[in-house]
Amino acid sequence: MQIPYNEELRPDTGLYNAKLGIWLFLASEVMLFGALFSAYIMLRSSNPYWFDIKTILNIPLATLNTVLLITSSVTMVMSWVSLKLKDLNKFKMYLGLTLLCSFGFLIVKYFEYAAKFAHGYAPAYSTSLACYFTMTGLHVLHVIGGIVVFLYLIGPGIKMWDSEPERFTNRIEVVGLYWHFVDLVWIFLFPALYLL
Amino acid sequence: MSNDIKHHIPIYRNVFIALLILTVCTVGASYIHYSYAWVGLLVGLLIAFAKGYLVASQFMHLNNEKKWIYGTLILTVIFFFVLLFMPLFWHTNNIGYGNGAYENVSHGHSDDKHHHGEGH
Repeated sequence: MQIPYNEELRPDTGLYNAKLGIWLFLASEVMLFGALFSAYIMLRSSNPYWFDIKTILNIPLATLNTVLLITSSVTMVMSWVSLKLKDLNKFKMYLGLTLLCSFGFLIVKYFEYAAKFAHGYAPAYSTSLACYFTMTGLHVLHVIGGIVVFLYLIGPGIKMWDSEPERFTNRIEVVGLYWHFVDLVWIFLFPALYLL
Repeated sequence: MSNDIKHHIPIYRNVFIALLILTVCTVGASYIHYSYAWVGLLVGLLIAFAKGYLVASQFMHLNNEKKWIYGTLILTVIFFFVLLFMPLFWHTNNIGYGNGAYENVSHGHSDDKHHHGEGH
């Protein structure tokens, strides 16, 4: 039995099911990160002895990570455009570039974390470092989640293009929305933790 | 359809350039010394919101979406602000203090003993 509204739009919402589903998921994600931002503001504003982590964080590396995530957002949207233009080779190239950027983000993050731990700056060192590791750690988990889905879609999942191209294009749009959200979270994490 | 999509490609390129420029602005703004800390905070947040707007409106196509998605997001934004401000209301609430019930409660102390760090 065919699951309805995978490709065609529902008459009541004007959306296919997965698109409404991902937006509801993203709404819950906003609340998840919102709770962390709220706790961060609360802890920071109420603590007169706040340990300023700006002095120990590596801003050039974080800037590089920002550029990597922004680039991956562009390549992600271009991979969707390529499918809309029925160009599978370009899709593979753009999704491959997205994967490359996301792995680059993880590698940079590894070096950042390693440097912190090498100097004894673990989460237990101070509340500010605990906030830093919690928020960036959760974000890294989201990046890893995105990578897993990308690997599936560029690997075994790509077979769907032959049988149901429209549904496959919708899948790429949905994972793209998730990825842009991950980029969006970093856009706010970067100044909040590293610069302000 | 394909012409419609092709029309978006230069927009995505321009947004990418704008995001890179705004990233440089964010980093640059953090090196400026402001008389009041809140000015720096405001500048940093304004740039972050500008970047967020570009990503959401162009890459996530929120500039042209269905009302169900706008409805979901408006509800989320309302609850997000409740979530953001609720702890602050709780923090400034002094009801109950002064009647002896919280005599041993102290404010402003922290377990953060380390005030100085080294850059690396």
